[in-house]
Amino acid sequence: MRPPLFAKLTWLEAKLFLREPLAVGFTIAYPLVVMFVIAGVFNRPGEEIRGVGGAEYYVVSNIAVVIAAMGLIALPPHAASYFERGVMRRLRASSVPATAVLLAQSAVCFGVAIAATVVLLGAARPAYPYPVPQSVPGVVLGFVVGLISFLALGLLIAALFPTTRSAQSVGLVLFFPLYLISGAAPPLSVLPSAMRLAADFDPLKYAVRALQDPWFGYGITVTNLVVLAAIGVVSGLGAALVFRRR
Amino acid sequence: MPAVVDVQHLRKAYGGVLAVDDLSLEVEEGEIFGLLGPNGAGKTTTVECMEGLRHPDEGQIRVLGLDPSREPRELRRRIGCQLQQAALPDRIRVWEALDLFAALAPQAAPWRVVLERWGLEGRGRAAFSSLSGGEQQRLFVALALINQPQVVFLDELTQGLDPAARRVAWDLVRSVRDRGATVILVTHFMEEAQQLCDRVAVVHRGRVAAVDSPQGLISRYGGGVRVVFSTPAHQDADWLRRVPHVSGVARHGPRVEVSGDGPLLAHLGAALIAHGMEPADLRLEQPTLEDVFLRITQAPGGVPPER
Repeated sequence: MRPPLFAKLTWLEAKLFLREPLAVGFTIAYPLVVMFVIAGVFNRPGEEIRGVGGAEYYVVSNIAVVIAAMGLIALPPHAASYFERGVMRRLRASSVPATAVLLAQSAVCFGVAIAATVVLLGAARPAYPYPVPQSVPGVVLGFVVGLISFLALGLLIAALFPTTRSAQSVGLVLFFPLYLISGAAPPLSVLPSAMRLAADFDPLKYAVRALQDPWFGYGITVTNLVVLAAIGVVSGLGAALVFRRR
Repeated sequence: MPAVVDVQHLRKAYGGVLAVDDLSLEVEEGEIFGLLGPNGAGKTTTVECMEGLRHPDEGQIRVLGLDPSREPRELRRRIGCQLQQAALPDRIRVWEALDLFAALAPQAAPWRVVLERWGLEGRGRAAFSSLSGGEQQRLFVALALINQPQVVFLDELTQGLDPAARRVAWDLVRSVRDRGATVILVTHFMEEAQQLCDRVAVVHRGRVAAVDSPQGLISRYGGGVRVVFSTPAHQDADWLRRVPHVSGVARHGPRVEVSGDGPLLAHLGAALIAHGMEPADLRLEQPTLEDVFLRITQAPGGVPPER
């Protein structure tokens, strides 16, 4: 497929995404609201989580919630609807490969996640003045790897559940438990040990840490990035395999 | 001249279910060729193989001399497809869809021109989901034709359209053919096939049961003419069997159906009057494509004998 065509497809997908008020609202507003509430609750002088104040902790953690919302809630039903309704078939009959469409959708989600993060950080600034990241490249790296990984996971959901309704349900059913034990909701230190153990299998925990560690000055933790990259690669390959079969 | 579409011994199964079983057909340049058959007969699978959207298990397909499985890109530059069960995103606008598909075809006309040609002017900014069924169908036909294809596949073009919109769609199909394209039309509407098609292949259980012009099919498989009239239920009608050219008499309450051939109506009319009967509703029923279709699809062995 020619690059100008991919650009046209991506631009079109961007416009279509912005015309979905629910998707836009959820992915931008939900992390924002949650951040304000929970950072307010835990923003108590003298109390620290992972060595930083509650406000800083939650502002940074909610960037990961943006990532998870894009990958688990925004992308799967959108991609699945194209399979369900025959949009993919129509495009394929004109030699537009499904891969190009899915990549365009993922690219749009990537862009919206950046926008949502900017909105989140901008809105948080006056209420919870957080310090700038200790390592900006580290945070950017964590953001990019985490986001790509969750978008790949979203494509895998769409591949396995190719109807809007089922992809949406599966996305939501995954999102909330993963969110609750990721450390972006209650701090991991207050969770019972069984839940803490479960959190080790939560991809979102690694996305949260991949942002927190470089931001708080704990360096770039390779484990976080490796786990996220592995999830991304496995999901991406799995999705490709399922799409190819169909 | 070689056929524009040449299918030989096509076979395609899904899981263990055979959808197309040894299907062969040839389509000549410039004709409207119908694939007529009940649901599940294998029509859509066949055209999807021709379009390169599915790969045959066995058999050979050539469309414009190209193998759809091996050269799909080259082929799709030269064909147009209107698919059954296809859609566009709900919120895409008409002009955006035309613009995107035009970008795929270097020879495409600008979208404003296409919009007007298909009677969608003024609807350019409308969302796909806000279009009426007829408008959506026109948009799909416009998309199928945007690359000025040599062969156009139309799969259940008029499904879900009201009778007026259906007639408009038929005019569109004729205008496509008049521009020089070959049209392959999948349908299960008898009237559509009879009105539009130069030749029809009746597809049944994954095979071509018969191919001919609609009129040719009717005279081969139509099963003769029928005369129908009413008479009081107690009146005997069995004597009609002795009238020349009558081959059968069936009675459903007051309704009598006499089947036969040739100058059946004239002989029957004369015999009825001679018998003192003057039914006011005596009428001749010519067989239609529907009769052909029912005879072929309900015959136990697949294809009934020609009459």
